[in-house]
Amino acid sequence: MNNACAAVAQSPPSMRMPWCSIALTAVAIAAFLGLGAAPEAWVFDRVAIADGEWWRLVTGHWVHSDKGHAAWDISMLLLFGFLFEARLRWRLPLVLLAATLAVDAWLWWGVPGLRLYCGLSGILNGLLVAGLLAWWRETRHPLLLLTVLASALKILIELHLGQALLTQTVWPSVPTAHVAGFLCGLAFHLILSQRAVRVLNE
Amino acid sequence: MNRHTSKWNFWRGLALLMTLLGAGQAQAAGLLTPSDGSVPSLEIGDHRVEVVIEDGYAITTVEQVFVNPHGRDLEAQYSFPVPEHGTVVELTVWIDGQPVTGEVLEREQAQQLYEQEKAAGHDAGITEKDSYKVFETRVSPVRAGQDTRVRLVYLQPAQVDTGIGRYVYPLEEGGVDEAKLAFWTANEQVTGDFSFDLKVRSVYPVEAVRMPNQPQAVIQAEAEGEWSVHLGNRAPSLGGASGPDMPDEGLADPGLQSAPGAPAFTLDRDLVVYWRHQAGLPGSVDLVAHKSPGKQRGTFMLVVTPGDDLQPIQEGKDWVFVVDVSGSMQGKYATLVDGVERALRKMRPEDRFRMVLFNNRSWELTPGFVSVSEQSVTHYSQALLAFAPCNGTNLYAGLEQGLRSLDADRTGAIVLVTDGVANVGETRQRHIMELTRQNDIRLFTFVLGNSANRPLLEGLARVSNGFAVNISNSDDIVGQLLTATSRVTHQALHDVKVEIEGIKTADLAPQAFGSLYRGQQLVVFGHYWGDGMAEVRLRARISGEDKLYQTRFVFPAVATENPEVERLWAYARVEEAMQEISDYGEDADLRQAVVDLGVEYGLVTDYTAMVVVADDVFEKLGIDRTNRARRGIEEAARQMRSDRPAVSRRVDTQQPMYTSNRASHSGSGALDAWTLLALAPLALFLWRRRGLCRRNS
Repeated sequence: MNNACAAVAQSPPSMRMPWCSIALTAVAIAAFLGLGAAPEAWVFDRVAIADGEWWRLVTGHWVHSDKGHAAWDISMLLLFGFLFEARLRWRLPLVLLAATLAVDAWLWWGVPGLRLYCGLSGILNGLLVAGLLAWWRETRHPLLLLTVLASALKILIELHLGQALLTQTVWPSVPTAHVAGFLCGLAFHLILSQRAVRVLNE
Repeated sequence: MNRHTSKWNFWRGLALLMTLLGAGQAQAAGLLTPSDGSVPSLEIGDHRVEVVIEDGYAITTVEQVFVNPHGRDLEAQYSFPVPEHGTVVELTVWIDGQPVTGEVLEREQAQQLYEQEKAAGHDAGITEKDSYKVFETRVSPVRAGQDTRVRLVYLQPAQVDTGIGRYVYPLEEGGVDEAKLAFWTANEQVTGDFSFDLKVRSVYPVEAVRMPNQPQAVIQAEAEGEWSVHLGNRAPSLGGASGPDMPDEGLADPGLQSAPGAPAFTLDRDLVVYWRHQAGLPGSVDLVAHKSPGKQRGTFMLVVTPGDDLQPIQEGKDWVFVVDVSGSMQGKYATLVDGVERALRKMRPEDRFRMVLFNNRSWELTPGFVSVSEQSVTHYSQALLAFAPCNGTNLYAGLEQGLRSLDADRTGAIVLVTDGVANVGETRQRHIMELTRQNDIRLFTFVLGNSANRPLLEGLARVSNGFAVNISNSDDIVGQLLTATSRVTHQALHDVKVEIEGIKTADLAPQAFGSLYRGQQLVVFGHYWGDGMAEVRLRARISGEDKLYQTRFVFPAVATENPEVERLWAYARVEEAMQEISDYGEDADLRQAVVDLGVEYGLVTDYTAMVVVADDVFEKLGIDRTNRARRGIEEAARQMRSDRPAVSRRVDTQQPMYTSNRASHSGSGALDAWTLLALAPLALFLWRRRGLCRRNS
């Protein structure tokens, strides 16, 4: 435990302003206020994507189906930014991009009956896991791993129920998108860890 | 491979196949002239379409100007495909500058009157229906060097499937009538103004409206609950984008301004519009009624939009492809084989397939059911490719072979790939239907384009409790296939029955409901007597278990906002009678029933036609102007509806029939308070770290 405390004490300051996350939060807020709920030209629409509207693979994650949906997702983006941006640094946009691709791939091939999708939560799950594990790699503190496990448990319960636990969004919840984001965050960490090990070995 | 992925890809392969089958058949709506050049061609000067979709049905108004640039009087003959479950309720011809609305008579009588007036050189017009294929309007004379203006109005139910409504303005003809195609040439060019204006009005929130393949369409959310679509070869002016009502006098329209060099519009492709309702709407029951003051009998249209409580099906399936390889498939055979191969390659490992081919006779390409593997798919795809399509279409033999040797222990389904125009062996629809009815297997098929044999294909699907999916070349094929996939991969409500107690009802249409698949609405037409509270129950079976849904609501004493419901009811009854005639042959009583309904309710059917002659001729012949009066009432009601916001027709709000929301294709990811709870260990970590930092400092 003493080692853990020492590691915690040595960890870098986390209260640096997360400008990247703040900028992305501003984009998400502007998208909701400016375009309204589930703007037709921006959501993930399988038919339109098949028609060549590829931008929806990215924009679909940054628009939301209603106020509650937007409020929860955007506030979590900001919170995760404050928590993890200082640790992830240049890896934060990379995590978001990887999670975007992972969730899109899952929606496209894994949920072929789903025509329309929107919301940040899938990729936020990726950010959460990648951020927690990056922090854990620095501190090795068990509470961080416990947070990862608690997040996994929450997703498992959602999967079991087939919907989000508390939020009632206008568009029904797709818990498997959270799984895709979560696994992407995990994979991201493992890949970076291996790379770090290789660098250290060299 | 993931189960859902395989299913999706399987249907996507089929989509390609269907698209290829539909391709190359495009013939257009337009003015017909004999191909031998014996009669000069008229021109379509203007073609303006206005569509209003509200309260579960669509009213389509088409106003055209036929131009005769030649030096002699000519007859105009305009042909357009029969809309899905639609019928013409108005033909108006401007005679001496005044609009004269037609009346419906028994077909032979109408033809005789038209020919008589035409021979006398008097102005006249007629609209007839050519089975399931086309409506034909003839107007005579279009005077030398002059124009003739006509208006057609037709009604059709407008259903929503899995949250998405679909409207098709049919223009492509399927090209299945070869003799007719050889005889006539269609002039489909609109030389003047073309416009298409559609309004969707609904209190169920509409999230988006889409018009595929028409990037120049102007789509706008108007007032609360109203969307508009405008397409035209003239640019809409500011403030007039949604397209104003058509004026009765002249076509000049201040809301539109001519674009310099506006291109001619060609009536050769269907115009398709989708509207998507907000996800998460509750299952519901809507009642649209018409009952005039003082009348005992009213007419109703009950629309049940079920909640989504049908579970996905998990077990493997046996698929029997029954493929038409007759001579009519020449030219598209290689691509057809490619489509079949793609579909096979995307099947799930636990699925099996058989392949039955037919032209003059039928034979099996596979030795019974074959498991899906790389080798089997390659082998049978090559075998299929080696075959040269030829001869006629013996659909009966193909189906008969496909229905043999089914495995009773596995769920099976037939995918029928044909244009439905049987011409060899047993061609009587009755016998083909009977063959399907005798076997407990679902048949899925596709109604490709506007001239496919819809009565046969829909009939086969109906008697097998399967379904037929309508596909136009202008459709979002992916979207249509999503709907089909969603249906076959979920449980269905079978043996659906509707019971209404507490109020007297009769003359229901349809009389039998069969099965209801995920996302489908149930639409029931009927008559009711009196008014007051009624108990409505919907009984069905889901995977062998009985299911009961019920609600209570009031049938109104007076309802005057939707007089069109009477015609929709009547046409639903006509369609049932025609289905029976198609199945079992013509029967004098059924024929008379169709004539009576057509004449009383002003409907153009296979046995009735709408004729226009000068007002004084109508008067002289003692023909009642019932259709003119009915159109007057309908037009007044339409005007009244357009002057106020869309209103709710939902009647089960007090006692909802469903506890679950409607089926939808939408989904979202959302975080919530439980995410914060999951972050509790992190919060503890941060709190402890803060304490440690304080102590260190």
